[in-house]
Amino acid sequence: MHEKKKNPLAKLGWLGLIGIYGVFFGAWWAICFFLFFYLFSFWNTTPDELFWTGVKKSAIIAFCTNIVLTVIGMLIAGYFSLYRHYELKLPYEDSYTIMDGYVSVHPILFGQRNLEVFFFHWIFIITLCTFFFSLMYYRHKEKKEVGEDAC
Amino acid sequence: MLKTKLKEYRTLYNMKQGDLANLVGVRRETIVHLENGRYNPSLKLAMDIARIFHVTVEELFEFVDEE
Repeated sequence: MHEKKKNPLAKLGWLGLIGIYGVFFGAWWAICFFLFFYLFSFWNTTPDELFWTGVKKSAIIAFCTNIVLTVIGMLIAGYFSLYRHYELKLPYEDSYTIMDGYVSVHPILFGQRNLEVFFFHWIFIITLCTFFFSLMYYRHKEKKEVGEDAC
Repeated sequence: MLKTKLKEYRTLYNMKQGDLANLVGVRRETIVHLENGRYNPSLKLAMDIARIFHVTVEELFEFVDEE
């Protein structure tokens, strides 16, 4: 009889504590880390090959989602950069000034940077959600097929 | 498509899915998926199961062309 192996993915559940940081320090994007607590439910799950197949499929879906959203996000944010350069004829170096320890930024550059940060946060949240919801889906699919155990 | 005689051999040996799963170090869900043809096992798992039933992998699993 095989010795019951510990599930290494379950240990990543501790990353959920980063969500608490998000709550106390107003980093709203970090609240999605609470999803990691779901991994504790795998603590007593044997990490066999079917389990890792589900994890791999979930990771691939999340990765592809991330790539697609990042390309879209960067194209949109990049439009601001193109607009600044070609329409406003404003090079990046002239888009901001530093004086007396303060930085003054042209509104178009400010908007572009804000948009990039906005997309970074939301793409990260959507990627994480995609991974965890895919994992839940595959787990549900596995459990659904298990009927009564008979000889 | 993978066809398997896993359930037949398991019944022959009067073994439950959970018992077989424990013997080869996987979960019962994995054995269920294997029996239903919904999962292709790794070579190691296929050989471990074949060894339990004292048969060859080819006797236990068969690839059939999909129509």
